[in-house]
Amino acid sequence: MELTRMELTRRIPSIKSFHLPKISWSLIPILLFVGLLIVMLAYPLALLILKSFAVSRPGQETVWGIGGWVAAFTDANLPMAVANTFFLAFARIIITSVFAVFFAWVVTRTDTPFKGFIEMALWLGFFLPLLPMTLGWIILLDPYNGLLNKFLMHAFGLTTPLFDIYSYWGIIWCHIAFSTSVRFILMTPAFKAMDASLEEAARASGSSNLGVLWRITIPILAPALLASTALGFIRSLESLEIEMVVGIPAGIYVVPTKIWDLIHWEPPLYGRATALCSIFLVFIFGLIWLHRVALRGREFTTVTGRSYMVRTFSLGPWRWVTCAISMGFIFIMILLPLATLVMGTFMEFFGNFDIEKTWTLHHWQSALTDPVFLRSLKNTLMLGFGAALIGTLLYALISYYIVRTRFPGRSTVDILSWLPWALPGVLISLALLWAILGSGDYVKLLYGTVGVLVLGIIIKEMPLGTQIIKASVLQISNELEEASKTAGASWLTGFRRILLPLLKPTMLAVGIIVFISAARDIPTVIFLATNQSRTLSLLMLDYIADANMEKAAVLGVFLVLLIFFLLMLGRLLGFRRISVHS
Amino acid sequence: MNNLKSIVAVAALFFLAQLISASGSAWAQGDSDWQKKWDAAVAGAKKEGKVVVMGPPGDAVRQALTQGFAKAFPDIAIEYSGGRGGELSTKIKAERDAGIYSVDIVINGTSTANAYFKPMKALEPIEPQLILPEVTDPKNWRDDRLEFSDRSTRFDLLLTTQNNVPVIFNSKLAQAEEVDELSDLLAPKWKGKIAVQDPIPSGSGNGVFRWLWQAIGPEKTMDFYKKIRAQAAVVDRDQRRQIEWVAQGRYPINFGPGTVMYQLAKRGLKFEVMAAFKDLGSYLSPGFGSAMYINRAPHPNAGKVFLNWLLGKEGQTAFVRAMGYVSRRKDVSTDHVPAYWVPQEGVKYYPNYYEEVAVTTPEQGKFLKEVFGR
Repeated sequence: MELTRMELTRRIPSIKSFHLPKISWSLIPILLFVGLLIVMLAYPLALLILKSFAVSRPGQETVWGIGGWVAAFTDANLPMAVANTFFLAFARIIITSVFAVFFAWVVTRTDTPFKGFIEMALWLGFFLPLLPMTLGWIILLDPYNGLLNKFLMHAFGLTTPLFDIYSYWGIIWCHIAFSTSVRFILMTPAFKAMDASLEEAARASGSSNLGVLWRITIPILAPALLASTALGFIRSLESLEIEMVVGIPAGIYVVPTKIWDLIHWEPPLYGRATALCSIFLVFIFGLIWLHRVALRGREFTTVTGRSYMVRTFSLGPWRWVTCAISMGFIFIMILLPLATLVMGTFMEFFGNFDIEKTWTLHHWQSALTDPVFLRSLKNTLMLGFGAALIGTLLYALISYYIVRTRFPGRSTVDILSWLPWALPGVLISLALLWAILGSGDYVKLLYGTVGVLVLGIIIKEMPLGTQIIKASVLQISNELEEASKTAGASWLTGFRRILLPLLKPTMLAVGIIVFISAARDIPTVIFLATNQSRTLSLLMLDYIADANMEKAAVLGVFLVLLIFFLLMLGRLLGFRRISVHS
Repeated sequence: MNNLKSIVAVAALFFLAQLISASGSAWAQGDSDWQKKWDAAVAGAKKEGKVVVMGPPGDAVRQALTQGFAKAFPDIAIEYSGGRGGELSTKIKAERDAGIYSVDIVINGTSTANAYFKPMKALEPIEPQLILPEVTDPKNWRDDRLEFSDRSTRFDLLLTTQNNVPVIFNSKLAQAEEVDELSDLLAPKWKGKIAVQDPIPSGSGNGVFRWLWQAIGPEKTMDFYKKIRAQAAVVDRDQRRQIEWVAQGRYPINFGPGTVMYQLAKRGLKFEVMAAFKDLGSYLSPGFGSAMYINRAPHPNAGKVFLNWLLGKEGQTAFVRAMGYVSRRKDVSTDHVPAYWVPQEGVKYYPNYYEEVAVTTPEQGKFLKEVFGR
């Protein structure tokens, strides 16, 4: 007998909103917190929207008008760009959803061999720098001289190349490893925190492994899956690098490449770029509404006061099939382009074997001995750790505030927390520049410090951090905090001793994602950084300006090594493999 | 009579001696004037402690300027940030609106000076800041003059001007005589075989477009660009990618390759260059090589010292070697750049850097958007 949704719901204790102690002083920090959030998110956005109506050139007297908005939306090429953007995002989200759910399930709920390696390799897929990895793919799949195409043509006597990286499917292909990895990382903590007794009950009732996955695991993990899907979709919409490198030669333009064009116009058309961002804004509102409708009236608590099991299930001989699929994906999508990328950093020109001096150590030598390398590294570490620590804690507080309290303004904060993803990083950077420089002498002191870069990254990654932690908070039953309250613990103690430890796996995942995002972000920090607060990613930009992609890729590979080293160090120091214990 | 002659001769000699003595003393006075000014500027700069420079993006120029200046003036720190004109001016405008004046010197393109910094009223006349005789003496400069992109206001001083190559080609796929006139590019055999640098953003593609607008007039330029758009295999903004395509033989021709070809050729990419069209010649531009002295600068003396160093032989050598440019100073060698970069006798060159032609006009922008908008 299969477990029906009604029966399942009966077995799960209901969520009750947890009330903060109703003493007046506790309201003050809450109000300050909400106020700060609104200022942090809404003020720069409002400034950006306001300035999008300035139609004069930079430096001239401001003239207001709607010219920028009219020009943006009467562009004859816009409908095609919008269609391309949505087609690519839909295709990617469908493919990566299947892969990500599969890998999360394989790693957390099955006895597939080498699953530790699979998990590590998927993390690696997330660390890899997107632009140099795309160059790795071009070396392999360029229709003119791609190594793989040449090999296949030679091996099978083909007259035309098999693959063309400069195409719709080329764009999607280049995205798969990174997008799957991100979504795997976001979903895994939820899979790990799920009580196995529900799946066991289904199995006892005669359901197959696939049936359990489809009828029990996926529905009960709906918040985490939906959040990661929504975030993945929005991220797909705003994706730029791969579309620039692979799409433009094929004449495929998307909304982000149009926005990039406008920002790099002479003079930059920030107003028109902001106007185009409103397309994303409308879409995000629609997505928030859908997200709410999908989750309304349903309960998703899987971590309760009672003990619960985390157990893997034996797949029998099928475990070798899941292993083979996983290894195939990892080899083709991650290790192959990575090897090509690393090889490329030792070549004078990526993939060019026809020049006199093909191989060189020069890029490594000159990148690592650059006089500003060490300072940039220090700034990068400060930015990464600062954004990861402060950001993750802030996202946890916001999630708690939205899910567990009944204070007014929760919906507003929830909606605001999505907004940064409606804007490309460069516009967030610009909005923050205006907001900080226009906010009085004390705030201005932040300008030129790494602190302001930390703020930029925290804002940029807020949708991801908040929505993923929010999904995890929804999984944790309120009764645990009720019990601590009954035992006389304060709200803060309950939050610190109960909720935070249970959220640790998700927070750690979010923290690492924020760290990596901070370490390699260019657009969000471009207007905020100065010579003294330059990061490694901005140093990469310097190399790109000299048309030296190889040297820029060296820094990308160096960042991957650095992050791996830090993760290993973290493990040695006690941040063991994340798991939830009963 | 002889006495009279003697008296006149003695008087003439005396007068001459006086004249020589007076001019010598004036000369010495001039000498001591610039030296005093220079000593005062250096002393003031040391007190200020640092100079803040915004310049072209790229690590080669960053290292050349910071290391060169630090070697010449070890007591004055230099902070250097690179960026495109649009980014730098957006940032400086926001700072100035907030009452922050953080920058002393800007080195960038002439369109940056004339489209952004002049309307922002952020520039100070540059000539009063020039002190060293090797900088102020016009004889040290090409055409015996300091050249400004804004000839009437003289805020934006040109450091460099080099020939901008309009076309590169792969000699296995195209011959020089097949691409040595502008109209050659429209020949049916090149249909779908030309990589065209996008003329919309500032840079080489836009430079070629503005040059043709001057050289053959608006109507013919618009007609040509409509045709070359239809003729192009690809319109792209990535200069390196297009040059690599030509070197690999994917496309025989790249129209508007830009100065990045210098770095790529130096690193071993092979392609041929059409330095100037037989019928139209080519155009000169400074690239990122023009200097501005920012008003209300936080380190005015250090700014002066840097500017004089930059315009001297040592600073110019460091700058042009890093950028692959040709200095306007006569005493700076051009042996670091290929011959086609250096303006040649007998070739017609259009100056593409004067204020009136340095910035895309609204009419030009509208046309480009219609034809190349995406």
